[in-house]
Amino acid sequence: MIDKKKLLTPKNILVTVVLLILALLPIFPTTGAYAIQLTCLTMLFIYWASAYNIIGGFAGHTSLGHACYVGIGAYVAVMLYLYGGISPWIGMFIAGIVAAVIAGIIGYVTFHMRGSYYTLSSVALLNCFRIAMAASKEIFGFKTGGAVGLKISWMGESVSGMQFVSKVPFYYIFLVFMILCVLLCWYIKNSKMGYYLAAITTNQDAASSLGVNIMQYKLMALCSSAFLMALGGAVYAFFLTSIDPLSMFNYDTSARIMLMTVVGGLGTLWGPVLGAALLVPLNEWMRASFGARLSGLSFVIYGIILMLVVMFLPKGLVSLKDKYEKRRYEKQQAKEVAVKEASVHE
Amino acid sequence: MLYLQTFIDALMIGGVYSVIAVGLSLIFGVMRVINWSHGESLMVSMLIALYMNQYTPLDPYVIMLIVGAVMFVYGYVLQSVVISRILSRETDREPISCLLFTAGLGMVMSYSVQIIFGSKQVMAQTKYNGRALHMGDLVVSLPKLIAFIIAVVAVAALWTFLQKSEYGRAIRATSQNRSVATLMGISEKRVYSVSFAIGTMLVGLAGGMLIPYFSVYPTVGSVFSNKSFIIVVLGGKGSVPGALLGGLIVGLIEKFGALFFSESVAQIIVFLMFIAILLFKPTGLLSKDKG
Repeated sequence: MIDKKKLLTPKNILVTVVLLILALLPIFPTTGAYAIQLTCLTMLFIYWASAYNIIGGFAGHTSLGHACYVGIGAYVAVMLYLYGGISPWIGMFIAGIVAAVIAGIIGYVTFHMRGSYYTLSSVALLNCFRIAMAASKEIFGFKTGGAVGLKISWMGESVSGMQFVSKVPFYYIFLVFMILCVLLCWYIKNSKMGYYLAAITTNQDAASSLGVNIMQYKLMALCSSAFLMALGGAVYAFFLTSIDPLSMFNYDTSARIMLMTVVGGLGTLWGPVLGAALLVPLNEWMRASFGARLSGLSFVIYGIILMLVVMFLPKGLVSLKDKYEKRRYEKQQAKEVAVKEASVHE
Repeated sequence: MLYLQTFIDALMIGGVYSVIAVGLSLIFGVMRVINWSHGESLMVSMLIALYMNQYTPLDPYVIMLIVGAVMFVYGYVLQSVVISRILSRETDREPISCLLFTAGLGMVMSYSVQIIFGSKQVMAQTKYNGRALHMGDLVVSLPKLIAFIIAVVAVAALWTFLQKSEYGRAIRATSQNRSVATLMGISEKRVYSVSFAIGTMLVGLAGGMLIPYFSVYPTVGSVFSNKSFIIVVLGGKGSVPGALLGGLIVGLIEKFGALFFSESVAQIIVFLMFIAILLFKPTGLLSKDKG
């Protein structure tokens, strides 16, 4: 029996309402193309931030080169489609596996070492891929377009080729991706793997002495994170219809994904969702209102937000709720004590 | 002859890489903190040097010393006012929150500069620009030679300071075991502040010595910081001779890789070497640290 009272918490109601609005948004006649585009990007970044959270939050290894897997996903899926005629729906899973294997190699090398080695190599890997893709005109005899990149030429509306006139089909793809990713994160967090990872990040030596295979669980976290990033990257490539090394293997994108997760709350389920849902629209709004001259302004504000959060709210925006509840609880306690004391005096 | 010329060029740029990486390595080794805004500090130093060169009659190498002093104060204040607070909250051996904080700081620095000065490349006009020494068929750029000499002297001076002086001993003691060092009456917080300040001071010197032959733009820092990260791992974190050796190795691979293949192949070789070091000697070439 499912307890009805447990299902009707304010949080569940809020999530349901938000999802309903998201599902119905493209149907409203008043919704413009810009709103669809903005919501697409927001959902994509929620997806990416949640995927990043598996390694960055649950496993506690900060990555500042996570867009590397986005780029790998995009390039593999697009090249499979252009030269092999393989549908992106299949291609993106191949891309995911390629990204997971590469991530696994880097993880295997760096997780032996404690601390920041993975962070350092994540940026090195990203730069390596960007430089390599920009410099090489072809890989295994297939053209990659070098620094110019690749264009997915229009071949008519097709579901199997992931080519649509309107952005609405992509909207629903991103919506489904986002929901599945958050559900997967919830599953991982509450599974054996999640508990082991929590133990590892709390105290690696203690976890190790209790027989937790640290390397195995960290690798599992990294590979699943990279797989999801690449899947998102593949769809993003078809959403944009053109890719190039600079925008795909992008440091700023990596930093933004990391930042959204940290600002929302590292290692929490809703932190990345909240972080991306606030910061992506902020960026787009600023870009729309300040234009290209001040295009860097949103990054200045991003940086300031990150510094403030690290200093004053290290557990992210999600922890505000806990703080509020704790304060309310303490007030209530104080009141009860006061009432008791009053009654004793009487 | 071409090889000798390439060798000399490689050593000269390698020396500058070393002096930048040594600062990062010292901070990493003593505090276990990665200063992610290291490259952006370099960019700001170059910018300050550029403007001082433009508006004051001073010699670029006098300006370099001033910028070094300014960056020393900057590093000392940043560490003792802000980073120490974040650090005191952390219980982890390698605090991640300092990395995140400095990553945010780096973003603010590079994008503020982009907004204020635009993203074009600016070259300082000094009296050393383009001057070169001719030795037979060899051409040695004068500012590069001066930069190399200053870099080696700076690294050697730091090494002597750490090995011979009383305060250097205190810094080394803190990096080995900070609780025991505190028991010996060493102020951990001051050691951290001084180490951080030395790290940013070296970046200030590097910024000053770079301007006669390297143009300034908002993302110039990442060119050097990405290499510094690799050099720190290569040489061993906290190891001063390691960073010098690592810087020279990276310089050599870049120049010879570019000569035989192309510049991008050279970058990939550097990365593969980084992975190989992590696999076979993860503590770095010259580190006694057991990881």
